[in-house]
Amino acid sequence: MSDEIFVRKNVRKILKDEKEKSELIKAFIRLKETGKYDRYVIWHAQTMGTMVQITGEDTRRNAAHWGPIFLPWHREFLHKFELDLGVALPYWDWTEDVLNPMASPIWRDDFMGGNGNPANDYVVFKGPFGSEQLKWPTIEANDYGNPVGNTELNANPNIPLSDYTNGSLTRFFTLCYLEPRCAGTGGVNPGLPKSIDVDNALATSPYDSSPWDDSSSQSQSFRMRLENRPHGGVHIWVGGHMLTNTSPNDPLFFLHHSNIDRIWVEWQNDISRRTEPQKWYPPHGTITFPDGSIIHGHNRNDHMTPWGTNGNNIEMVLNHHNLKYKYE
Amino acid sequence: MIMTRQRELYKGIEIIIETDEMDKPEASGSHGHGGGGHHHVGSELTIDGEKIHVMKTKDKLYGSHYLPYTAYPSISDLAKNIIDIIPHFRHKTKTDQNRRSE
Repeated sequence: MSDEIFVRKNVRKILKDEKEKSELIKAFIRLKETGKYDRYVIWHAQTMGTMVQITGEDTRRNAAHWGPIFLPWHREFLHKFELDLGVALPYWDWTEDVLNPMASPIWRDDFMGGNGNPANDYVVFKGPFGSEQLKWPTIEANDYGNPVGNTELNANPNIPLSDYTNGSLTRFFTLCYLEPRCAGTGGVNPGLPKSIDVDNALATSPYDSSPWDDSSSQSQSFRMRLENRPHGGVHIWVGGHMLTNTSPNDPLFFLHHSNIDRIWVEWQNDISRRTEPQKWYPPHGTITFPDGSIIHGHNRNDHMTPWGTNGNNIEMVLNHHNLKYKYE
Repeated sequence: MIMTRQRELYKGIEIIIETDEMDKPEASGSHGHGGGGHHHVGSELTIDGEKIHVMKTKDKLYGSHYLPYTAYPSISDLAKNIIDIIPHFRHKTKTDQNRRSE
């Protein structure tokens, strides 16, 4: 039973342990230097650019988001990433920072660094991922998720991804307050998600419901309730790269998604379903388009884009113990 | 099918929006349940010559792969946010401002 390899801890605990903190940062920088980190950024953007819809369907559903696959896909993504990283991913429980998000210890100069500089294009300056250190060149992607650099590089598929990395990490906290067009919210940034937002998600069942997309009822879909506000709200609050298809450029992405995955584990462990894995995800073949045809890629026995059979299928990741990690 | 074409400049960057009349929010009642003959072209967005896929939600908001966590009340709003946020467009606005001030 105790063969878990990675123990995912609250990031606040990591910050109190100088050794653990610096090992985590070193692991991120090492993965960046090998070029493997950028593969994750591009995988995310390419999957984002893979629409899953039928003609005429008004939806944003893609091969990793705005559909039932959202949670399993990110679980597999983090699992692969954690194996490459070689150390456990901590989780950022943002509900602890609701009252004063700017003062969160995660923004310390020796950790995530803070906000971007409005006078310099919202580039993050301080910290191991800041432009000051020159250790964190970002990679950008186009609408389809393919890397963009200069056009010569684009013409040659044999050029390593690292040759495209020439940007700087950006963040713009609460820009919505200043930006009237922000996020379709009427210019009001609702701030970081609160405990009540998480509790509301945890109290929602079933896992998901038709039409299995960004219009699934919040009261009938745990997945939608979690994906929309708590998950999306953090991406929006942090801003900069976190708002884009290349959001994993910000290492914060992984700490945020570790927390999203932790909430899913908590939901699965609820007394009403912990011993009934059939409730964790709809049965294979039941996730269908409005015309009754199967939504390939989102059903229980389906493999996931872009890994296919080089990765787990949805069913295999539903029990996170199979992936050899646990939350403290 | 009737297409309307709208062109605007934002921070010196050209936005072209081609809208299928059927795709306008007020025409959304004609969507779905259309049977065999239903076809859907949707809207096309071009920013600085780059074609960008536009997605419409059932709430009549518009989204893009570029900004996957947010959706906007109009394609024009979506385009302006892409220009403000996505690095390779944002950098062009700066280059343009430099060009104008020279």
